[in-house]
Amino acid sequence: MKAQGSVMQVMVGVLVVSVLLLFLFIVRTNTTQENISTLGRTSQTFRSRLVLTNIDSMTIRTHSDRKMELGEALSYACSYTEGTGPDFIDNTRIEEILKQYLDNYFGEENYVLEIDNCPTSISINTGKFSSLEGERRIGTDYLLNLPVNGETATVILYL
Amino acid sequence: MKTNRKAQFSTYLKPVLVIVFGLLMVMVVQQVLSFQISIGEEEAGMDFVSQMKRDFQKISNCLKYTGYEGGRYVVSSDKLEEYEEEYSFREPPCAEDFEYGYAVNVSTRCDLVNTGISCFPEEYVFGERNGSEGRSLEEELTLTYPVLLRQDENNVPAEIKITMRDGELERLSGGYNRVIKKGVEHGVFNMTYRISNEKTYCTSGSLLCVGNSAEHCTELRQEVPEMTLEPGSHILRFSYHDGSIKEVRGVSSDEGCS
Repeated sequence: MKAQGSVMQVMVGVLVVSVLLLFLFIVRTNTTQENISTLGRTSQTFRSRLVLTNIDSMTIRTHSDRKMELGEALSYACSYTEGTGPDFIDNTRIEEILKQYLDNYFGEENYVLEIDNCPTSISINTGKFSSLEGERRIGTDYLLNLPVNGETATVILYL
Repeated sequence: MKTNRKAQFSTYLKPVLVIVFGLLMVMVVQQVLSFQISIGEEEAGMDFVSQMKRDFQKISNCLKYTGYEGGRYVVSSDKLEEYEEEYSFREPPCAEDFEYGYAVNVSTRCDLVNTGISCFPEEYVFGERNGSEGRSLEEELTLTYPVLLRQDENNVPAEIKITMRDGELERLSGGYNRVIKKGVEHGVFNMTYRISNEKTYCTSGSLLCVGNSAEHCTELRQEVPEMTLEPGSHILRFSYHDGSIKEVRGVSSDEGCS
């Protein structure tokens, strides 16, 4: 009887230890999975930021044959309401270049670009935004200084 | 009679229960261990990717076009030309990785967008182009990062493609380069370095090569004493003074590549 008791005690002990081990193991697995997904998100944000930084500094030629950086052109476009901007800025041309670059880099269906605090309508793929809402999209923002009113516009790239 | 049967039942049941329980425990422990190993591998992979990002930052900083205020990731074609010539088989000192090895390919991506600006194809390669292969290579990963290339006073789309390797050749060359770097900084520097290698390695001048001949080699920061390292576990003792590595103890022989 006494022997039977001690076997039972050992078995219960082992069971408790295994449950504890299992619990620790689950916690560790969850932490690692979180770390992996954080790393994935960080990498994606890093890549988006690189693309936005490149957009800012990319040299373009406007419709009036003026050479400038795409970020500067965007800043001008966002400083004025539609139709009141300087004649060397053509929003359609800017949007076209932006869309072509992003389409070729990420694939047409894989991103959404929005610009906050921009009176002119430069936004790409925003019509597709509703179809992306169900999924968890990561937005990376990039500030554009507006030369006319001293404010800033925010370019947000969702992947 | 009833008590006897109960005792008999218990006598047979106990060892069976103990065996079943033992087997279950072994299975649980085995599962936990195999999962731990896979988690360890994933964590190592995460470190590898993070290191790659750090290396990219260092490389893009080294290549940055400085004749202009903006553009953090605008790389200079003059620097690229220089790097391709100077560092065709080793990492540039300003972005050296002593743990892993990498090769860099920078090319224009004129196909991505028509900006109205002329963009012509250019391609540059530098870094540790020859790396570990087969069983001496533990991990290899290639990632591309978008950048801009300064071309005729314009910033045109380009990309930096980095191929990073974790292997014996990379670790061994990293060890040598670390000693040389520290030696240059401090004048005198000694370092002990443990390495387990499955392939033979030899040196010839400033080359560290796989096998016994100078065919598949990576370039070191400077000339090093001749040696051959046979497969096995080694504790290498490097001694740097008077401007170069004078001695490496623990090698298999003092004969270099044939």
